[in-house]
Amino acid sequence: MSSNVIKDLVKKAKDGDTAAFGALYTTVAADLYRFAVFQTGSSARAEDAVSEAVLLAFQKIRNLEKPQAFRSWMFSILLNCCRKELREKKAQLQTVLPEETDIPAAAVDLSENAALKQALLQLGADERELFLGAVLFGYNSKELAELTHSKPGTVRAKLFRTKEKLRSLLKE
Amino acid sequence: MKKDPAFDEYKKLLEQEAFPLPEKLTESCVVEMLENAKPQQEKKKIKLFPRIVAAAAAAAIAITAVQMIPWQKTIHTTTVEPTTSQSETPKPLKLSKAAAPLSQFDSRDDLDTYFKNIAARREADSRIDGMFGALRKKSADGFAAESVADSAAVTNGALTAYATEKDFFAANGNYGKTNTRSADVDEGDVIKNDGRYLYTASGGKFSIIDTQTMQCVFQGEPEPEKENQMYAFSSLYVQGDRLVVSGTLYDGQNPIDDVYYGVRDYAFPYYDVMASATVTLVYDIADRSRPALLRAAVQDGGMESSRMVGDVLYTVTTYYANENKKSTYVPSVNGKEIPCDCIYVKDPKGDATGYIVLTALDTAQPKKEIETLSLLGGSDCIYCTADTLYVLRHQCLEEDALAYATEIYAFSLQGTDLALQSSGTVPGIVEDQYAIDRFGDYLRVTSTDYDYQTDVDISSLYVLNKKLEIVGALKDFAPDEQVKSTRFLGKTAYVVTFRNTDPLFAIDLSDPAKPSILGKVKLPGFSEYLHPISDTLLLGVGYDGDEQNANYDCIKLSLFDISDPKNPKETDTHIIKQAQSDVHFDPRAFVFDSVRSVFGLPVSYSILDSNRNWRGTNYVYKTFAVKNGAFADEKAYLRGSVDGYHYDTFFRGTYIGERVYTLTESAVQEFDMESCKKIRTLIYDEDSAEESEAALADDLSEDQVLEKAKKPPVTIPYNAESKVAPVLIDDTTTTQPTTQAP
Repeated sequence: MSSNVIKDLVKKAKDGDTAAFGALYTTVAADLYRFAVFQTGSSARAEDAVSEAVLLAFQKIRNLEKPQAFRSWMFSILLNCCRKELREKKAQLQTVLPEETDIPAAAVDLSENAALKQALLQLGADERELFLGAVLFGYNSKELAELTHSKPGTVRAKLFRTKEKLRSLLKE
Repeated sequence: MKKDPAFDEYKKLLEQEAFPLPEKLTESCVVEMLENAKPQQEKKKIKLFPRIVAAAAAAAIAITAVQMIPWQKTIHTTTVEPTTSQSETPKPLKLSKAAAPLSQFDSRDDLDTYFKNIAARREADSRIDGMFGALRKKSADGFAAESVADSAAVTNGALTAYATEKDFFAANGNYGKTNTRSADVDEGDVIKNDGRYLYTASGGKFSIIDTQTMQCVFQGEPEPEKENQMYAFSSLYVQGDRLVVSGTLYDGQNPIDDVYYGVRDYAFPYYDVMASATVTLVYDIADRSRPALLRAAVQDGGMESSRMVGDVLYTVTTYYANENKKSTYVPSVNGKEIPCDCIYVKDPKGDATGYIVLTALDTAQPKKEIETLSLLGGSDCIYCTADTLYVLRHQCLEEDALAYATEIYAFSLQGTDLALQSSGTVPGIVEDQYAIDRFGDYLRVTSTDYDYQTDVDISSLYVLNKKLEIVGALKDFAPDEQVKSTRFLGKTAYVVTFRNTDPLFAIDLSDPAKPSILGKVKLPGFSEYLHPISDTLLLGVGYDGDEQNANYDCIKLSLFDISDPKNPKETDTHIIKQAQSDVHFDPRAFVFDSVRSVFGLPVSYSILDSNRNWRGTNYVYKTFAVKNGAFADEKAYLRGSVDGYHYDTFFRGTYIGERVYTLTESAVQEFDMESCKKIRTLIYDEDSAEESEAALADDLSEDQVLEKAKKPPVTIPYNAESKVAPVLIDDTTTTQPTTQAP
């Protein structure tokens, strides 16, 4: 989608056009949902988080200054909604136990993937958040630092640890 | 940090998980859901979910424009020579790999070859190629990082005439100045205060506000050369009658899906903001209502940081070359490529494509050339003294048992003359400019390293000589703790660490070769920022917590009695619950008036309903006096609005004489310092005037707002009761500010 189309859709959405918002949403829906599933460890919670993020985003879209930033803006909203979901389950900063999760079977399922999913769920929620933000959304450490109210150095350190953790988990 | 191909693999794996969207989340259902939600939303004027998203979005989008105001009396003059009483110069220790020497390219051809080799290596990297090759090629074609504007282009037609008459400052003394790291080095900030006028920068605008008439006497919005470019000013400096405005020039030409892969050589290179340059505008403001542009300078790369020593402005930007496009290999300053002999590189066979570009501009001599130095490798932190600028760069050392190192490069500054002086490496990550300090001939740093084999944090302090060799070390002084904040006060370092026992350490540095722990005090939570209040008192601003976890939803103020460094004591604490302050991550937001011994910090309260849902943010500027080693006279200057619809990119406070001012990008409010009564309000950003008015409308009757929000009275006598969280809105009470009629 070109930047002009996005700009136009954002403008319409700001005027309350739900269809325009829907079109914008579609460009990021798969990524949002995938992030939420991995982050919350549950398809039901992911569904709730994404729905809430969508409602909030539509209400707040007038605050979106740069249409080009729609994607990262949606992500930042979803991040908070996922945190809320996790908090409500009193699972914040705690490991989601694998048996409690119900990540749906993917269309393509590789054994490697299953291992990665399991490993992901053994990370702390904050680690998972940074890791998924970096991997799925391609944020750099500065952007992640702004999103998570942290320092770039800290983010880099955490990401490095996360990577090491994953590496050892995947070896097991 | 090196780019890690493992992430590409993970991304590939995760993206294979083609989860079908649940029906509820398909486009049509989402649109329907939004339609259903609409009437309710309109009724409530979108005030239902106030600031949560705005705040999140602001955090996500906001350009890092943070900082601010204090008054600085040099409490501890750092001019005392460190005693090398041991008369012998300490010998270098071998604690890390040899300092990374910097080399230069013999010719431009060599530099071209360097990048071409990188391009070839990356092309050959099949992991990246398979996944990202197509995208990379695509963006390489569309990537335009040419120098974007020249001096003439940024000249605003309205700003040409020189002023003829001169205003006098209300030079009656005491006003808030930017809280800087070094007393003789100024730091740019989004607000400045010169004792009469207030200056703010936000987005592409800068404003000058006369506090005597409480009017905006000038608002400048320089036009970029091209239509889809925009400025984001983040740094102001005021030196007498000169105003320096600088910030990043964003180029909107790269649409969002033109993500540029492969050039960022730190952290995650997948996503890069639009190609950008940094613009510096120097104005003569002898007539504050008619600033005259004296000079405009453009340098490639996004604004990293800047400092001002005397009249000379040092600007550091980060520029990323595209190894696939020759015209981007070398950054430009004012349209001219940096000469090859001004470019340093650590590893001429390496993979770094990011530059730091350092320039020196004499603001008092508009005709004088801008001097430049450049270093291939990027930066993570800048620390500047009056004669040396240190660039710190974090490194990941995977082959070593210890995971991190920080490279330090020292550039000597003499007016606009820049020269590479020395380079060195310390183990671990040196977090910010407060964790590094030059004292006499020695440089002291605190760092946190991590041993991933044992999963243990290692906090250490190192002393380096002029050649940046480590001559003294206090390794692992706090087992499995991370350094959270550091303040060097002459021969003593105060360090707060966090993890298990969260102590404040006092470390003796009088013998550079043998740093040793003098004393420590254990406290709950940790400080993110330490500020000396007097010779014997140190203030910590941070978070509360227990043995295991920190509570990040609060502000904890701690006073430490350091009169006996062997036995530091926490003499008073105050916790502001459910609140956040910019001081946590940006010490420029902290203001200290050493004459009155009063400090101020911007506070934002999360407004929660009974379900603990976030309903908005309430801005309050708080000041505390420090008397007899304890907090006293807590005062709250209310910004007002509890509704979260309008959000501001910054919220700061400062003072002039007996008046306190709170500032956001769109409004200034003036208060009587003693009574906290609001005197005047100025909404100076016309573009958002409507929203600002709406946001400020509520506070026309402060008392009501206060009452509704269940806040304590405006002036809070300091006592135990006042430690109660002021802004938890309970839905069970009769009033709900978040749903009141607009």
